[in-house]
Amino acid sequence: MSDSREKLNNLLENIQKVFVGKPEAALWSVVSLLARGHLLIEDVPGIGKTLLGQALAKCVDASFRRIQFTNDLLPSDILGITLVNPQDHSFEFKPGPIFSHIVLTDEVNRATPKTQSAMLEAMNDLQVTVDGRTHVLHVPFMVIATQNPVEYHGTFPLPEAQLDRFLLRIRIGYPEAGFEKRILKEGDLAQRLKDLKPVLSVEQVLGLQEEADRVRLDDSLLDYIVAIAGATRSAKGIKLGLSPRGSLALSTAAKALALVSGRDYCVPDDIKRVAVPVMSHRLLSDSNLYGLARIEESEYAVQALLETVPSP
Amino acid sequence: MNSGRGAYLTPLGRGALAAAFITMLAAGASGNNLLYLLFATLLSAFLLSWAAGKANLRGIVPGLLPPEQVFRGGEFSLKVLLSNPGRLPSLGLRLSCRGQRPPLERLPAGGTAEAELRYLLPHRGLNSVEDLRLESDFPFGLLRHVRRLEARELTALPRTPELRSASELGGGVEVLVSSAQRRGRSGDIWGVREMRADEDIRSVNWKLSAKTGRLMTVEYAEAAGSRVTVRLEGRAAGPDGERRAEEAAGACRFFIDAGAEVRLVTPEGELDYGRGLLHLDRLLRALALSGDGAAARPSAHADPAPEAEPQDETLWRRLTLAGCWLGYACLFLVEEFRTVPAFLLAAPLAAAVFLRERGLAPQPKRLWDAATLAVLLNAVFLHWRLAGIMVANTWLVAYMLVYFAFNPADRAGRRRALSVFYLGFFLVSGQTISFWYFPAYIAFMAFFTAWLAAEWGAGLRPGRGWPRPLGALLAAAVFLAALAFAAIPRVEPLGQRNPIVASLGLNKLSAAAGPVTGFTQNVSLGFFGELRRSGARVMRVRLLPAPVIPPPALYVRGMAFDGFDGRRWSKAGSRLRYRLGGRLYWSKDGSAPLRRSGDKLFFPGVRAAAPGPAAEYTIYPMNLAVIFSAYPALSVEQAGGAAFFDYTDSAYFAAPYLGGIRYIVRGRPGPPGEGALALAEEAGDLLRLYLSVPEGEDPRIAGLARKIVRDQAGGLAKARAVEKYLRSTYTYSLFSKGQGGGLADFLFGSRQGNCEYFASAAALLLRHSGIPTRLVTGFLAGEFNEYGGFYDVRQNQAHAWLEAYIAGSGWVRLDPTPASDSAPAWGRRFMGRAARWLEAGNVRWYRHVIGYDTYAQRNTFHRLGLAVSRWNIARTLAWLAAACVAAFLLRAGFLAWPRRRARQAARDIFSQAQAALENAGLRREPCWTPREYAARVAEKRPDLSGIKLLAEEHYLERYAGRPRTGEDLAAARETLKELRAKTGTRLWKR
Repeated sequence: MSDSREKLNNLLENIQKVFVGKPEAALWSVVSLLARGHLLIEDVPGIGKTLLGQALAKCVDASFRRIQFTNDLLPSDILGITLVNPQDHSFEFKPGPIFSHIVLTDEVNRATPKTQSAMLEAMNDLQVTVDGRTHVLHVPFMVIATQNPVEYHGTFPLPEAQLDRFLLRIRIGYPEAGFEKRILKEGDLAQRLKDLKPVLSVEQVLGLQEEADRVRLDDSLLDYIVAIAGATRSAKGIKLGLSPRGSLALSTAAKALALVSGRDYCVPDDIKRVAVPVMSHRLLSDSNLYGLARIEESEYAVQALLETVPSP
Repeated sequence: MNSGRGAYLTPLGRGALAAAFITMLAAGASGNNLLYLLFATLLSAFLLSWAAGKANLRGIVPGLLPPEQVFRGGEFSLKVLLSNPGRLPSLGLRLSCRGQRPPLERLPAGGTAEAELRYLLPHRGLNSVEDLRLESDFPFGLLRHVRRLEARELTALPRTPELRSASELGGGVEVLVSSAQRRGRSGDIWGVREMRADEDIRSVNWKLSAKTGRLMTVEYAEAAGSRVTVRLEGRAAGPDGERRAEEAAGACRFFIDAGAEVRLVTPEGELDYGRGLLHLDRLLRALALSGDGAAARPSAHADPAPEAEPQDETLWRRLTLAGCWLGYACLFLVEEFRTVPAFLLAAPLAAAVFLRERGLAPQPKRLWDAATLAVLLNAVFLHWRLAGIMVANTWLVAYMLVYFAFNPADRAGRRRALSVFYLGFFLVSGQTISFWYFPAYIAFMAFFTAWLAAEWGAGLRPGRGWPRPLGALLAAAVFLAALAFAAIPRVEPLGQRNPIVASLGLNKLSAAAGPVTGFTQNVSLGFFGELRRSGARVMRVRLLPAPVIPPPALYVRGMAFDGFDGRRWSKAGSRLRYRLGGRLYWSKDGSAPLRRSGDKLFFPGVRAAAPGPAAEYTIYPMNLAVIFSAYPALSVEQAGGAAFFDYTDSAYFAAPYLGGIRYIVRGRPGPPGEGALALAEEAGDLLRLYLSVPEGEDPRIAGLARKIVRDQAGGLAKARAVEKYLRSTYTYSLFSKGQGGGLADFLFGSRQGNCEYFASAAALLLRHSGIPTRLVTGFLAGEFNEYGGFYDVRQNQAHAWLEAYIAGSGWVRLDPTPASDSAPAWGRRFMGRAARWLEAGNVRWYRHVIGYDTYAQRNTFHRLGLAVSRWNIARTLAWLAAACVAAFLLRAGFLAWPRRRARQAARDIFSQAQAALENAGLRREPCWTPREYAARVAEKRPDLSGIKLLAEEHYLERYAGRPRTGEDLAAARETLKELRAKTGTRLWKR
């Protein structure tokens, strides 16, 4: 227990060497990794979304690829393509960028739905099928997708069903003045990223994931999760409630958070804490209930909802 | 009943209290133990209602879940969340508020339940909610326990009147509009909506409008708009202040709806520009708390009429029908009711079940009213006089049962039905002493429990079984009732002095006038079987002086008979001529008066009171004049009026002692001796009477007599031989099979019978052998009360034996009846053990329930005291110490048990701490986790941050699954103590 606690602390510290001033975002990225989930970062450009993904990949000693999504991106650009080998006239599969441990897909809403769905399928099944042959992806496999909430022109917003594939959706937010100054001062991000040393091996990550599975979740907490899910389905102002997959995501994320917090058991506070990143993109709320931007609106709706559910 | 907390009698409870009072009076007046039992049951029901009801409401933690926004005067649905941290489920809970009574039915241990109320806040701003009460009629609906939920404050937003334009605003609200530049259309898209009339035509989205056919606009996050300041002039106090606050609220809403940025300025402060509904909420909240709204006002509100509670028709129909059948069945315990017409009543009852289960239309009400009137008139004017009040009332109850079986009842009707069921059972209790009363009692208690539980809504449903705690409660009630029954002080029944009670028949304990006593002028074979079924006390015999050791069974002699016709014993009615003091007396009917001297009556030949065994006889009212005596009598003392003796050596008073009597008989020890024969002029004639055999008798009897006495020489030997023969070769049976048959059937057929069969057979066999015999009836008193020093004589001890005249020694008592405790043959053959159990139960029932009176009670307590005093003090202390050690070990084991007790300990401590803090005003919102709550408490009251430790302990125990060690718990308890000490006063609201 203390062993894994140390490992995770190292990991978090290491990420924050590069990704300065936003411990919360770093935490969620690790939670997502431990829960075998994918992360959706929704925020304005230039705030360090890509940096976070890179830092995480670097710290874990895992393969990392970045795909910039554009509207002319094709599924084969992601998954890979079968080519004829001119020497022995055989078909040879050339794996795409998705065959790596951590994949950063920038501006995921810019690609066409066809491409989006190809990748999202891969996220769910951990395998891709190209020309009738199935190829297994690497484990651990984690997608960090980003999208821009401000610019909507020429985008294909992800439908709710596909948003559901992401375990967490987070915002990063602007850094505080002090941290921004520090970022400016230290300069040369690329170099610092290069200098970052991995602290966890892939096997260790797999071990931590299994440990996260074993985190104790009391029965009363399951009831609490069910109650929260039930509340979303009957709440006013929410058009689409939480799916059972959403409930499952709540429990796995809470377990991972508990592990990151150095516990081998979940407490109700874990569930409340993961509720916003887990649920806010899964619920379809009536817009303009609280006078906030859409993303804040949905987060606020989740907060308000939690206040109606009695805690165990 | 309306306010505060505590326990109140429900209408049902008042009814039950009245019933208990009447039952108590009836029991005291009659001394009838079944009435005492009924009273004890009601008493225990009240005790249990109080205790169980109190426990039921204890420890329940309420929480309010109001909606986000509540407007003044607007009805909303207020959710109340109740959690039960205790270890027992709470049942039958109801919230009560303004005439609403939403039921919660069941709150499991450690669980929560939610109820919803329609509520309304009358004041703007803070309202303190004080009229919420938690009620429960658990367990029997006799007492309503009420607990007021602590006051909570809710904020009511001001109403927002609809404005069409800012110009509608009245005085007191100022609106400043400052136009701002549009910010273009590049903002975050809010959504699409229809155009409003007052909007700029340039903002129309023509593409969407063309698609939908309506003017549509696209809204952006950075919606363009003006900036508005709403200023509330003056303090919002008084009616005018209310109006202004509402207008300001209306203005805020209007501008927010119009997409403007709104700023609010009130005398208390200002709220900066903002947009959107969340900002509107902030604005309204600020307005709500402005002026008068800042101080909490009670949200008292006129109670609307309570809503009619829905009824479960099927449940009540079935319960009523079950009650009618049960009541009807119980009525058969009353002997007088066991008639053919009573059996025929089953037909209409069955018809009622058939009709009502099929939902057929009820009969015309007028018809039933007429029938009821007729039955009532008949009962009052005819039946009461003809059959006696008790019997007539029983019939009246039977009619009412039929009535309720047919007529569906509303709530009030159900009460009436219940009171009729009780009345029926009350009447039965007053009129029976049968052992079968006991199962009827249990059945009735179960029925009443079910009925009462259904009244408070225990969630009884037809065919869904019996809610579990009810069974335990019923058992507890019966147990308590048994204790109360034993402990309620018995007074000597007033019945002897009170003719009203006697005539009502409530005093079934004392044998009623009538044939049941059996001591008529003749005795039929098989009659004793009937006689001995009654456990009624007939008399009490106190030996003078009181014996030191319990004496053996006592033969209390009543009457003797000489004439036997094969089926029936009677007095042949001989004339008696006797010589006394040289004078010859002549009596036509064979009897002669006793000589009176002072308050003493002397038997012939006795001059003055002689020392000898004496006994005092207290005889209960009977239609009988016989002077009972345990010894050959010499004198009767303390008795008024005249008395007679006759040639069979029986004595009589001149008039039957219908009101009961007490007298002392002095006698002499030993056998009866010569008796009247010694005086008789024609003793030979008399002896011949005792030798007569019935005509046309079965010749086998004479043959049997010869066979038995063949080898015996001498009268006494012959008599003993016959006695022994009958005792050893025949079996005793209370329920004689030979009831229809004669003596021959007993001797050669069934070979079992009652005492009078044995006595008659012996008498006849001896007469065939030439020995004069007579049949004697009386009691074989075997129930000696050590404490009172007397024999209790009951009707079921009625006995018959015989006396044989042996020349030289006079009359000798013979009892050929085998002891009744040897199991009857039929019992061994057919029902074996069950029959013996029944018999044993019967005996105990009579002895411990029916015959439990003031002496028996004293005896019980005396024995209890003796048992205690006999117990050596040192031994008692040793036992006590051992018990303490055992209890301690048990408790330690219980605590050490990792799963049961310890698992809950830290959680309990946290709950207790939370309760203490909540009492101090530090409320935990239902949505807060323990850790959040602890953090907030620590923030408000740093001195109470010990709660954090408790929350962590609670987490470790419950969520980490790590049982807390004794040390951890000790530390936690210490913290709890400290928290309790610090939370004396209320500092923090909400």
